[in-house]
Amino acid sequence: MRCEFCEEKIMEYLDGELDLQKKEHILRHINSCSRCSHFLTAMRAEYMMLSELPLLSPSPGFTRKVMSSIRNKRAAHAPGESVLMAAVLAFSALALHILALWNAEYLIFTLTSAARWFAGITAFIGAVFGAALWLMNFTAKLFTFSQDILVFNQRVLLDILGEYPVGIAVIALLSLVEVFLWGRLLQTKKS
Amino acid sequence: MGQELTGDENYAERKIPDDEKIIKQVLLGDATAFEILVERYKSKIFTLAYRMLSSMEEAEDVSQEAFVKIYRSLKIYDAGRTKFSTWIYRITYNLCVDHLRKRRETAPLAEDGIVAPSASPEELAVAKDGARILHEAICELPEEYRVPLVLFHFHGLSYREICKVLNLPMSIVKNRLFRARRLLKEKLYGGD
Repeated sequence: MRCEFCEEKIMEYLDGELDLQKKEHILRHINSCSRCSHFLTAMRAEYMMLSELPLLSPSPGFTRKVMSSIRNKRAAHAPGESVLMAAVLAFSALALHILALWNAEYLIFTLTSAARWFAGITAFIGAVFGAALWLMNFTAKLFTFSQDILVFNQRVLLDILGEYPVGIAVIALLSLVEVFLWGRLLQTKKS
Repeated sequence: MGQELTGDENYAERKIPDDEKIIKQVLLGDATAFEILVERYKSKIFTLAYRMLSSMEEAEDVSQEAFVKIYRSLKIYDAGRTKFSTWIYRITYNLCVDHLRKRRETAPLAEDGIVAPSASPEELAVAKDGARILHEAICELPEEYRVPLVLFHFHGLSYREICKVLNLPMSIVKNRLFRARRLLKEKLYGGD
């Protein structure tokens, strides 16, 4: 066995990363090689010194600073409120969307079937999505003991809404504009 | 599951809560629970930052930044895939790498972003001869060798965990760890 290669194995041995067979193999070599035996002793001393070097501590007010920084960021961000607001916006936009569809059907008959299908499917997906989110939030609040489910729900809610409240709000507003434009268009055509 | 969870408060009184339990509490909106995690890991995070940045002030700033980032990213932490400590070391390591990059950009003359280790009163208190020599020898190691060494010996990470923190393959991690120790041995005891 080449000693250079053996040095790496000695370190792996000291690191506890060698299996039994390799460990026996390396120990046999060390017993018969003074260079490697010397290397093992030096490494043991180095490991000992490294283990005695203490962990360092930050300044005494560190935890307080971290916590106040988190609180400030939380107040500015207020994820809970933004989630709720985004959910409300998305939900009301969906409701209006469905209302507009109903109106469209009621007001005009010239709307192509493809457009109706498209509008219908988007509204359906949106409604299911919104209802699922609402249900998740509701059940999470209701069953406060089921922490696993709650954490999962919160993750989903936060991931989808909390991270993109502005995006959701924009979509909701665009839906409102769309509803308004549809209404105008349909009324113009009707008259 | 229900049995364990309904007895949650009693459980907390009996036993120090583990990381995952605290994370759940934080995700439920109890931000103060995060304080336990800060207290638990601040020395380790700070030591890693200090060993990478060699400056007490900068290490403190980056550690603080790391904890804020950890807090904000808790909801995407996947306990099934990574140990919490490995995950937070990775966040800290990445922040330190960014910090070193910025340092290099603002002071291009500084060699490899390494500054002379600053000796604070706290540092001096622990710096007895042997420890001081070792501390200086670690600081003098190139960053790529120093970090795996610190993660293994100060943070007790396995080879595999170091791979995850540094996002490097096992062969490179092993190689850097070995080279770091060889370099350290040379600095401490001279060549062969």
